[in-house]
Amino acid sequence: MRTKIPELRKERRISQAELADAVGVTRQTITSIEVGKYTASLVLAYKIAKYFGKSIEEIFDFSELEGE
Amino acid sequence: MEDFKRKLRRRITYGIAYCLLVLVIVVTAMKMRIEDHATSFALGFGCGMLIVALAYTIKYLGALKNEAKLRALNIEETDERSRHINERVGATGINVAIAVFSLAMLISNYVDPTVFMTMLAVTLFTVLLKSLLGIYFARRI
Repeated sequence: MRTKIPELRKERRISQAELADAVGVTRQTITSIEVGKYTASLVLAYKIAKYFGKSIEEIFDFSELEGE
Repeated sequence: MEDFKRKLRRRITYGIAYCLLVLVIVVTAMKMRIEDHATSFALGFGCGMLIVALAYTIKYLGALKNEAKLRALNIEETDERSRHINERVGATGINVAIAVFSLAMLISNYVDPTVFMTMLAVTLFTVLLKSLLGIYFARRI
């Protein structure tokens, strides 16, 4: 799943480690989500969205699920 | 974080209790001069586990004294991707084990009946374990 996390991090000058620490996961988890290898759980997606002050849909791209 | 601290304190208590138990068993075995192969192996295994328990106990004690280490350990243990990986490893591992045990069972039948019966028991136990765990988690989740 594609996400806007890398763009949002760059905008706010936040490292993967800082984001990971803020939402309570490892840096590797954030890396995997950013490259699309791992899909965040609903709880983690909510925490990330809350951290950036956005909704889940604004950060995670669900368009690839539209056709299913 | 208080729950996690309590969990670590409990683990430390169990770790220390295990270390003391192994030490008592080793000293008793040495005093009674028990030196048969099975006991020596069991004591060696117990001592190996003692080293592991000691290492974890030291790690947990360090975490309890340092808030940053405690938080890092908590994240390491609760990280959802790591949990997901562990679940995948467990599910794949048990299937691979069943396949390998089944193959070993079939081959051993041509070699030795005792080994065959042992492999049959191991294979059946693993299949039974997988089924029981499946039922348990289907009811729990």
